[in-house]
Amino acid sequence: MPDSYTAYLTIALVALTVFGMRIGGMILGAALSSGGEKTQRIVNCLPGCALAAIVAPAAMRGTPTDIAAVIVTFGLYLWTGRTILSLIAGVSLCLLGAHWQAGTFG
Amino acid sequence: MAFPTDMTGTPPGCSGASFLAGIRDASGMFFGALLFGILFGSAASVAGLDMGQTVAMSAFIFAGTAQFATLALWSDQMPYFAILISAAMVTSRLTLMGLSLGPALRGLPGPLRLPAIFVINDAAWALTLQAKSIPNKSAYYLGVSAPMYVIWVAATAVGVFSAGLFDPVTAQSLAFAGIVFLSILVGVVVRGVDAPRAPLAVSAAVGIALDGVIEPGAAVLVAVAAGAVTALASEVMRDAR
Repeated sequence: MPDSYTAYLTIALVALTVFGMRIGGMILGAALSSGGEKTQRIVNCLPGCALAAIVAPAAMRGTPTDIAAVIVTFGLYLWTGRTILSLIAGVSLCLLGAHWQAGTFG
Repeated sequence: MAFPTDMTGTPPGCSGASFLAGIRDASGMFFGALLFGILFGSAASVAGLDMGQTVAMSAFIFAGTAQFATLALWSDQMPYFAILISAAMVTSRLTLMGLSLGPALRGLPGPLRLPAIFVINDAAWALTLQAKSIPNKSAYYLGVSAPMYVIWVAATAVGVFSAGLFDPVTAQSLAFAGIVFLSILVGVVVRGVDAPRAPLAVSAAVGIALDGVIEPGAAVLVAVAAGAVTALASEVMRDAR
């Protein structure tokens, strides 16, 4: 394990990097502030594109129950708009599927 | 806490109600933060971090993907460059969220602006953009983000004590539940954010096509670029109609 100094230095450097990513967006946003409604609609779309690009391949790498869990959660949220219900359904499906496949169900 | 008026010139009296609306709308997201905060604390403890280091990570970084990415490279000979590149790649979407949230946060006064930028997160971005009827969006954003931060840090500390509580099968499936949580955020975007939908499908397809072909962080950036081109085309077609 790294010594305490190295550990905290690493945490500080990562914290600065991540804060830099956050504030970078705000600085860019200020520069684009006169872009109008069309620019804002495109900008609003981009983080969702990043999320979709993370979720879709990760789901496809999962087991069949993992894929089903993502589809059920996403569909249930679109249908009901209820976060907790959708999350509990998806997580339960993940857990049940994993234990079923591992033979540790029950 | 007194909130300023936002860009729409909302009276300050609406700020408290907007803040509370943020807390109410994010209650389901808090459940997710609690679950994954505990998972992170547990994983960090197993990786050898002590309580102070684990809580410091959550308190000063406050980005689950960057924290898990750092944990994966945590070793005696710390590979600083790899860790920082990895953290920047996995949090590139926070830059896009900062870009998108600019108009909503522009009403905040100086002392609140930096803390507000520090707590930019997936859920706060998605909920703030879909909250069209909220009079003071900056107060609403803080209503989502501030409790999310407190819950994340507290859950991390709880997770340190619960290390080893989950059997390997449960721990692995709960780790996948992070993807399940993100799928809800995609749902929030589809349901309510004022933005074209086709780019989401294009980015998802590009993400799947590039999976395993190039480095995951780079694949996300290419997928976002494809989404941006599609969004631009959608807007041009929208104007033409």
